[in-house]
Parts: sequence; C-alpha cells; structure tokens
Amino acid sequence: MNITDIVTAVIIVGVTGLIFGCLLAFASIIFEIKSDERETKILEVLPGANCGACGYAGCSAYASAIVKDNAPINACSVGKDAVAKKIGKIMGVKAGAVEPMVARVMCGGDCSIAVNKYEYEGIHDCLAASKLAGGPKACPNGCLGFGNCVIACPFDAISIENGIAVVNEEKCQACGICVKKCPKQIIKLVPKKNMYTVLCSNREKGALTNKYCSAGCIGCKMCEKVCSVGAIKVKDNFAVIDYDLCINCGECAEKCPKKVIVKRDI
Amino acid sequence: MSKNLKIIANGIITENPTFVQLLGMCPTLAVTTSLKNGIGMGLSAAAVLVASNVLISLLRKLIPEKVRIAAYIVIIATFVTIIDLLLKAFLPSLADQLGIFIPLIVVNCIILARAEAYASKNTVGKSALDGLGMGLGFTLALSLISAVREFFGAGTLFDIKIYGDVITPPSIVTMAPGGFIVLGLLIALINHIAAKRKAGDK
Amino acid sequence: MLNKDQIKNILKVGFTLCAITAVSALILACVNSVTAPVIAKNTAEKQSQAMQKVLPAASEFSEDNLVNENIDKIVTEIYEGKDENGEVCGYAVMVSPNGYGGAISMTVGVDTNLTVTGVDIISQSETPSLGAKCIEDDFKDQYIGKTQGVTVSKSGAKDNEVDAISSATITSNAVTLGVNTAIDAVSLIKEGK
Repeated sequence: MNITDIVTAVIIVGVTGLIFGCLLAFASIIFEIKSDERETKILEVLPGANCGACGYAGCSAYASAIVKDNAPINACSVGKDAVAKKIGKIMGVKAGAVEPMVARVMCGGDCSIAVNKYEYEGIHDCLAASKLAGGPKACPNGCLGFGNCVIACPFDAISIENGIAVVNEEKCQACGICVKKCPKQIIKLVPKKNMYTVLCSNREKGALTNKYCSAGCIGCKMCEKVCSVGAIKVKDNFAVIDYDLCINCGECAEKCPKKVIVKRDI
Repeated sequence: MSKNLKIIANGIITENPTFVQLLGMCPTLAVTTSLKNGIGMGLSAAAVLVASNVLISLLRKLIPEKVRIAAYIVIIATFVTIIDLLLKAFLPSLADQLGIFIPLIVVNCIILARAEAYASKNTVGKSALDGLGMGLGFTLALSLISAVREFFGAGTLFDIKIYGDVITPPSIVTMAPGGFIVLGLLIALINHIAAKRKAGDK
Repeated sequence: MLNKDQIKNILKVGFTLCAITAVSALILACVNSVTAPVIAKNTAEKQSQAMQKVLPAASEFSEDNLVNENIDKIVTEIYEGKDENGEVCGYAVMVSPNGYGGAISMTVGVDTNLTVTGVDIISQSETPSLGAKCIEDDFKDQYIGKTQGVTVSKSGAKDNEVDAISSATITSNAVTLGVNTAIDAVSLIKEGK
C-alpha cells in the first residue's frame, strides 16, 4: 500500500462523508418540525416517574398535552404543588392547588385476626390466589397479602406487615398503580390530610363478617349516627367515609364497637 | 462502592447487556457454540466498545446533532475493521471461526446503544469505565451461555473432551433451537434470582 | 430558498463528517498497509497446507495457476508441486463436479505417473448421512493409487474401481468424475497442452 493508495482512500471516503453530511444537514432543515420549546421545559420540571397518575401516557405525553390540549397543570400527583407552580410559570398561568393524596389499603384483617378458609400452597401472587374461589382468606374482600401491590409500587411505599399490605404514607406519591394492581380492589386513594380510615371493605352481613375477621365492619351504623356532618355512611354492609365532608373529628373511631375505624399514625 | 466501581458493576450485573437489556442477541446466539468462540467474540466486542466509547466521548461536543448516528457508525466501523485486520493477520484461526460475526460487531446494538445513551453525554473517564463494564458483562454472558451449550451439546469445554462415550451429547444444543432455549432459560433464571433479591430487600 | 446562515450550517456539518470519515480512512489505510502482507502470507500458507494434504510428497507449490482453455471447465486451479530436491513430483488440482445437491468443491493430488495421491473434499451440500459421507476417509481414500478412468462399482470394487456409497450413487459418480477429470487435466498439462 503506497502513498497514492492511502491518499486515494482518504479522498474518496472523505468526500463521501462531506456529501452525506451536507445531505443530512439539508434534510434536517427541510423536514424540520417546529416543536414548542415550552414542551421541553415542562418535561424537564416533571418528576419523570412516568407513572400515569396524571391520566396521560407518561411525562412526555402530559407535557405535550399541557402545551397542545390545555391539560390541567396540577394533575401531577407525584410532583404536587411544587411542580404545578413551575408548570404554571412556564405556561404563564396560575396553578390550582394540588391536593396531596395517598393510597390506603382498606383492610385490617392481618394474620392474627383474619380466618382462612383453606390452606393455600401455590404461587405467591394475589391475582393467582384470588382465582381460587376468591383466595385463601375467608373474607371475600380481604387483603391476601402476597404483595402484588408491593412489587408494583415504583416508590417502594408499600410493605407487607403481619400478612396484609400497609402503605407508608410518607413515601406514597399517589400514582395509583397499586389501586389498579390489587385484584380485590381494596386500595383507594384518599386525601392525605384525612386522618381516619375504615379499614374494611367487607360487603357481607354482620353475622358472617364476624366469622371471617374480628376486625371487620358489621354495618352497625353507630358511626353514621354520631357523625355531625354526615360524612360517614354505611353502604353494602360496610362504612364509607366521604372525604370531602370529613372534618377529622374522630367521633366515628371512638364509637366504633369493632374498632375498624383507625386514625393514621403521624 | 466507589463511583467508578459502580459504573463497571452496572454493566456487569444491573444492566447486563445480554441478560437484562437483551441487546446483541444475533451474535450471542450464533457465536456461543463453543467457549473459545464466546470468549473471543466477547473480548473483541469489549475492545471495540471501550475504544468507541472513549473516542465518541472525546468528540461529543464536536459532532453535530444531525449527523451523530452517521458519525458513531463511522467511528465504530473503523475500530471493528482494525480489529478484523489484526485478527486475520495475527490470530487467523480465531478469525476463521468467528467469521462474519466480527464485521457484524459494527451493528451490534450494545455498542451503538452505549454510544448514544452514555458516551455522548458523559466524560471520557466515565465512558471508558462504562464501556469496560458493558464489555465485561457481555463477555461473561457469552462465556456462560457458550459453556452451557458446549458442555451439553458437544461434551467438551475449550475443545477438551469431558464426556461423550457413555452418553452421546445432544447436538441440538449447539444448533439454533438449542441456542434459543438455553438463552431463554438462562435469562429466566437470572431474572428470577434478581427478583427474589429485590423482594428480599423489600 | 436557503439563507446564508443555513448554508453555512450545512457546510459546517458536512465538513465535520468529512473530517471524521477522512481521518478514519487514513487510520484504516495505515493499519491495512501493516497487516495486508501478513494476511497474504497466511492465506498462501493455508492454500499450501491444503494442497500438501493431497500431495504429501511436495514441499512447495508453484504460484501460477496452470489451467488453460483445453482443460475441462470444472477444473478451476492446478498447481505444480515440487519435492525437497526441487523436482516436480505431481500436481494439486482444484475441481468442482456437480453432485446431488450442488457443486462439490474438491482437491485432487496427482503424481507424475498420473496416479492419485490424495482426495480432499473442501465443501459439499450432499444429503447428510448419505452423500455427505463422501467426506469420510473410508470413501475418499479409496481413490489413492488409482489412475485414469476410475469407475464406480456397487459391490466388490476391483482394480481401478471404487465402492459407491450405498444409496448415494449420484454423489459417488460425481466425486469419481472429479477425480477422473483431474487426472485427465494433469495428463494434458504433462503433454504440454
């Protein structure tokens, strides 16, 4: 390989590079899509968890929706107020308040008090277990404790304690994935400021509930009677708190004979 | 763990290109018929990976956005051609056995993926370590797969016969179907172990 | 159509890519100039070893391919082999007869007495465990010692005959054709044609 060959090679390859480089640059000018720079800025302030809690398919979809479709800027439950304010600054609008939410598992029937109807030896998966006659727990609406929600949580905010799932409310970002994953559908998103929760979702009549679990709501309506604002009502044989009305007075929790209504530990 | 070791460990374990990222499947399946080939291919790809990561990281501020893919491929192809020429000249038997898969390192997803995802955005030092980690991870993965396939499919390891007189090794393991099955089983096993550890931590 | 800034940008991008490709080409050309002679030597050695397999008496082979228009088209290359004393001891012939599944690429060693000294099958696509058995020594070594006009016998091969591979007559005939053509080619070369 003499100098002529080397020089020829360099020139041919170099010129090819030049031609293609110019072609690519030219093409990028012709085919350029005008993208709104606000979208890029919003994407930068979003937390990037891609959890979908805002209702859009990930953070880039939400950023795009804000700029193009006028999506509400306070929909990010992970970013909460701080992010909403930043988006507001970028878009030039005032941010509405974001109510911090948390997920709560509406079941208190742990190993010590809930009864099993059969011994389950199978895959440690809530969905799989729930297919076998509703799961090993006697109560049809009880937490099975195999932890599908634990694995699904992108923030490591749920853990299994004593056989049932418990949410760590400091870590929970209310993304809603656990709510979707629970085959019993007993995880709900509630406002963080509300301190009281009815730890039961059992729809059976009181007599049956007692057989399943000593901490089950029997639908006695004592809570309904004492609530001064009518925030707690018994529906389907168990009590449900309307968090828009609840004033955190705690009367229901005191009067509940089964001690199903629990105050959140701070 | 020091930051540097963490980058290397990331490539070997957490984001192993074969078992976790599932990149570079084509050469993986084709080359892992014998342990010697697996290691040879892995080390060649690792060499190209480190070299290209370093060079691309050095040039990252100079390469214009619009031609970055073209530029990366030129750089990677140059390194692969150099390795190809060196192997053909000084290790011809290995070059023969690896055959067309040496030139195919150019389009090995791992190298382009790391160039795009890491080297174009990080310093030279970190990029070199990332290349090293991913390269080692790839080599270890190839070694594991080829050891299994050579042992069960041919009864040898490194061409040294281990068994074969009493039981005939099923040669399907060294052929295409065996490759897919062994790869699938190993991925399942490793992901199972990883999931158990993650659940254990929780 | 395009303003000055855009044109400047296009040229800048173009020249950057040009620089990267040109430097790469330069590096590759330099590496190639170092490795090319080594690779050529390796290839020649490999060829020489393959030819020695079929003509063991030879220690070196001519560089020139002795094939000319008079020789049957299925012969691709002929190399003259010399022993340690520098005397011509035979020829290595590359021939590709058509088998059952395609061309069978083989090398035949023929000495100066037009006797076969070795047969090697380089590549074939015959039926596995039938025609593909032609690569086994049991079959192809039968040709060693045979001369012009080898024929295939289905049972009990006599003097200038070889036993066919059972159920693989076409393959056996093809290999035999290859050997015969090789011997004929050497005979032509020796006569100076």
